[in-house]
Amino acid sequence: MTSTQYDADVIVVGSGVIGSLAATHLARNGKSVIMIEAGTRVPRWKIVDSFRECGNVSTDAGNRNQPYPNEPWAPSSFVPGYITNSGPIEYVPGMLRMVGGTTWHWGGACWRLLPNDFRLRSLYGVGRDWPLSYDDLEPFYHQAEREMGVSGDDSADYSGHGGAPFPPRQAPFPVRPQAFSYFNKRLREILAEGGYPYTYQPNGRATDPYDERPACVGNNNCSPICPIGAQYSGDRHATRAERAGARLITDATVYRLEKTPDGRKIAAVHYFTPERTSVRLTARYVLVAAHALETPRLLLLSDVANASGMVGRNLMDHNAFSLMMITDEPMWSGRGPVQQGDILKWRDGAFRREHGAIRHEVGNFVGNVQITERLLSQGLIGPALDEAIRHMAARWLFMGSNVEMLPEPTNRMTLSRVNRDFYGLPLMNIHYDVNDYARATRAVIRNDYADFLRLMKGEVFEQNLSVWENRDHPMGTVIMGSDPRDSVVNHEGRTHDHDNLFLATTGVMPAASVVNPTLTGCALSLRSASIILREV
Amino acid sequence: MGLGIYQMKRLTRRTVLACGVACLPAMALFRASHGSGRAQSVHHAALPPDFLALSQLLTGHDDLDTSIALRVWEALLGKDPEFSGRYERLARAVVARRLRDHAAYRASDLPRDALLHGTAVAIVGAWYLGRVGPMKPRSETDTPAFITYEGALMWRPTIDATVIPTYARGGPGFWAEPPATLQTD
Repeated sequence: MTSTQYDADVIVVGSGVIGSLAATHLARNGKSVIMIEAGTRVPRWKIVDSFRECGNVSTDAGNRNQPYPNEPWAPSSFVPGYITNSGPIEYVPGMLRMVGGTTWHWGGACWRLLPNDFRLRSLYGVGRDWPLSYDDLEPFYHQAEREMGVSGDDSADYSGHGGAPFPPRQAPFPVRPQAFSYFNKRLREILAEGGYPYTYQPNGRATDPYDERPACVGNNNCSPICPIGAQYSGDRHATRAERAGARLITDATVYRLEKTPDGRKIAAVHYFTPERTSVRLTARYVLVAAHALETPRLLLLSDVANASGMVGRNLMDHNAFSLMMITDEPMWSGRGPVQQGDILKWRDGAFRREHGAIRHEVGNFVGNVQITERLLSQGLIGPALDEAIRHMAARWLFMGSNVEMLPEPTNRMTLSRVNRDFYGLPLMNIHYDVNDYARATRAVIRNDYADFLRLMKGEVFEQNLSVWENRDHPMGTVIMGSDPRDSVVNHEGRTHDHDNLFLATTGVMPAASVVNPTLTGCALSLRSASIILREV
Repeated sequence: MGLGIYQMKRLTRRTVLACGVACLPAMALFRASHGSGRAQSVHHAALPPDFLALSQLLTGHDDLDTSIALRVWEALLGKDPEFSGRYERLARAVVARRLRDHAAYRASDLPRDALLHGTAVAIVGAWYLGRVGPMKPRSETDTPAFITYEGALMWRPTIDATVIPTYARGGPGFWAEPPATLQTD
């Protein structure tokens, strides 16, 4: 295949895990690939140093963007004005703009959806069905898990019913599970008494050395930064794509997708350099993998792929509540990685006709920061403070719940009428709310929290049952569907409006389920890459 | 950090080490008679000669890291321009009562004085948290004044059982077993 008429066979916009996996796959198979990344490139050690010197973040609290690059032309998401809110629920997710993207500061959860998650409308009469099935995606889940080195429990029923291993998989997890910490073992025993199954969370941490990553040694700082790179992050595949021949252009903000005169295709991609020079590149195919918010922003800026009017709409997350308690017995949260297990009792079932699925994710944090702050606020100092820190840290239990939301066109990202970026282009406004289907989970979560407190003989440290905390899992904003009138991309990830434009982001997901969406975004991206590979 | 501050730190450290908690009252008296001429600039305010000794009394730790005392002081002043005055009132009260250690402080009337104890907690909080001011979860502005990460005293009470995050000690999977102290924790 010659590329003489084009700068590349495929341009990938974005160098996060989702774009980098696709770029790697295409480059390895002989395609010429250009990756364009708005942010800069920083080695891990600098981020570790920055974390230890910034003061505004800890493993379990604070601003996780803080230790990361924040260039004027590629601001991270908490820079004032980057996102404004106009709806009843505040929504500004943590998000990084740099080589490797936001998986620099994730907890490493790598979930597959369940087959039923793809058929929500058919089975439960709510939301939307996907235009593809679990079986269609399974080979690409498998591929993504191998690329990322996903650790999981082959014996677990991840539907939360305590039954046979589920969902079906063509091969065992590529990485064996890490040992449950003593804290998690005790938790599993105690929760079982209350009928709550507690499963090992599939994750991207290396139990044993995997590819170029060392084994996890329990630094308890998976986010905001794993200091040794035992946990997977997207920069791994950005580098791998380069080694396979892809060209990565950093500090390059794509601001326009140029259509062909007939509008059927994308003719070129335009980006700005920090010197405000504009560059035009051409490719046979364009894959935009620029995050669930920046991807629709680019489409809106370019007046592209929006015949349905759905670009930017249907924003979903897993907004929910949280519980911190001091348990009766010492269990010592904080030994090992920061999260190891989930309570999946409400992951799937007929209840989804009435309310969203619920996942309670249990943290395994060193709790000293929040405990010390609390004790100081009570005026405690001296030896009594030291004793109380140890007593409470030994009994610290933090859990954050996740709730399934449904796609609502009114939950929407639009271009800001007020704020502009470094290049003078409109930034983002988000109007966001939590609908009744999700709100109906509140009574269930309240009951569960009461149960957990009873089972653990715990005292509430802090319980939130009123503020809908977002989980930084944006989805739905360039929604996938079979009908071009109400969706942006088809089952391939190809835009309905432009034959050679694909979108690879969790933004394509038409149902949120209740698990971290990254692995599904990765599987969809690899599936799109396989289709592009056949056509280019 | 400029040379001026470096020299000041050396002088201060030497003075405090030579003296310690035992001569806190004398030092405070000295400061009371000379304190009015002290620089009031927020960023370059001199470290009070008795700051380390009073910090030791309030925290109950006699092995505070002298090399970060100035950072603690500057962080407290940086977040509260009135802190110098608050500090002086607390120091005078401690001297007036001839309090020599933490037990004496706790037995005194000061823990029940909301304003003075609030100042004491602010000083202790800076040493324990390694910063002054609350973390801002979704903000890049008005962030805490940073002092130290691994040097924060809050890690000490649990250091045998859990890690300072990013400073792992055990090998892979060490966490499968509980800490050796479990039965007595």
